[in-house]
Amino acid sequence: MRPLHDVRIIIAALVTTAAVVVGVLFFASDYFIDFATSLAMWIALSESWTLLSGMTGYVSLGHVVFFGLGGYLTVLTFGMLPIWAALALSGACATGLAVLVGFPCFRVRGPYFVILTFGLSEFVKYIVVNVEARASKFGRLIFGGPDPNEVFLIMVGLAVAAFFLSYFIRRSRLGAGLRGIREDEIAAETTGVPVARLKLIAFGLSALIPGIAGGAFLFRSGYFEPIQAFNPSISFSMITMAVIGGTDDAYGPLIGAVALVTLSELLWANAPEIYMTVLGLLLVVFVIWVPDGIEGRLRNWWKTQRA
Amino acid sequence: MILEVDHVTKRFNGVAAVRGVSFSVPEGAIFGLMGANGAGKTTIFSMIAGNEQPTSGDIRFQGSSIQGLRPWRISRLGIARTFQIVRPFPALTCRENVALAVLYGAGQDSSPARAMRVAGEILNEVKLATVADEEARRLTLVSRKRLEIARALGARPKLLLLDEVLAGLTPMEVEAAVELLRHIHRRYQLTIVMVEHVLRALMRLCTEIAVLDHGEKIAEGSPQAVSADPVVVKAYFGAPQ
Repeated sequence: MRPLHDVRIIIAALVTTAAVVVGVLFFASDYFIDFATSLAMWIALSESWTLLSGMTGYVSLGHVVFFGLGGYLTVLTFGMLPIWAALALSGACATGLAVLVGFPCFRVRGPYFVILTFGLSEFVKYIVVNVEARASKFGRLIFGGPDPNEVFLIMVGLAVAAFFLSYFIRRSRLGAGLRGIREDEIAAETTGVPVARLKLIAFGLSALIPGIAGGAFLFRSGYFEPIQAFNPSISFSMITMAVIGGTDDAYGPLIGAVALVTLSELLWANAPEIYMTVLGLLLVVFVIWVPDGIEGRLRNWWKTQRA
Repeated sequence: MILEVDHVTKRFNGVAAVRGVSFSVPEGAIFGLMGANGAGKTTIFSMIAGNEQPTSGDIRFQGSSIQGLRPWRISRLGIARTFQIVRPFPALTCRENVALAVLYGAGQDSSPARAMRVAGEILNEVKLATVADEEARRLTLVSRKRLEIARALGARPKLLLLDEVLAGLTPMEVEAAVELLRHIHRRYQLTIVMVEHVLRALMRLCTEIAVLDHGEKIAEGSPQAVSADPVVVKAYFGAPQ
């Protein structure tokens, strides 16, 4: 359990976010709105990833499957459903898929779970690739979706929702149970934690927002192509951001996403070929030397300052 | 009888770890399970707590069978256990360790803030208040064993299963632990079943003792009767030359 929630922090976070959003909408260039949309999306994704993997220790290497599924459902229903309904459907189906595959996946732990989630995302990807090929679709374009400002607002909404979902769960009874699972699953179950149910809840919640974000991302890119929508590097990026920022509180993925999205923007501009290399290098450095991430370091530093 | 173990057998790949063991524990008792390593004591605990399923036989708690229930359900009925090889939640503080049990055990507290307060009180009872906010992995073995007891108490049990909580302690630490067990037995109105091979402590604490040898019960009775029983003496100290 983290310390109880602090109303001042919540209000400060909301006011800051609102100010930034207004500032961006009225003053920023198209380029900056695009950057801010991307930043909000990555915050939403890596916060969601930590809901399962940071809290329970079950590391999902296939979280892109929910993102890709959301994109696919949204493109399929485009023109048939209102945007909000398509996004809601994407989120609901992503959660449904997580709960469904959770039953077999949670029978295994550690590296087996990691491989299984990765395999699942590749499996779904190639199903979609083949279905699309049979339908003679090689990428689907959409016209007349929400404009970039609206997509930006949707992504900010998702980032705020993901942050607070993560923030409050960490301070709740559910969060305490999930930590118990991470620390020692047998001891947790013997202490009364219904581990099977809690793991499914965590998996379902961690899939919800990536599903919606996948749908919203479609309107930013303007087209759907399965190899890109289900690209495993999206999973890797979520993980790297969470690990660099820290997975022990909701601030971690936020810090990690800001750091990496900014870095990647600088690198794409100057040296795009080394982006993935830098990502890998950072991951190694942080896993070995800063396992509790930037947020963990800051929290310890703050503690020693006050002591 | 709060607990009835009824002709329970457990086989692991054909090898019987426990063979047809029966005993009953009256409410409020401190009941001892004695036996050498490999006698099947821990296996019996694991079956009562739901961590293992008996191959045959039945286990009843307050008159109804708990056969086949998951450990968390059994915990919520009011049975808590400690582990012989302690397994605290290492990265959580002592207070968080106990609070988790308060939230999820038989007490089913819904408020994390209240659970943290209750956890503080329990840590106070087991004399861990000074390390309440230390991470469990930083504790000494003695303190970890106490934390194991505190977490079990946090689950608000009626029946507490203690698996070798005295093993590995120095004689002075055993003294303190015996006092602690007496204290919590009274304070929380518990029934305790304890597995131990520290004989003297068992003799002092228990109202009744069952002796196991190679998976079978070979004696049961008051501490005096059991320690005088020639079968027990033979199993424990070997045949006289």
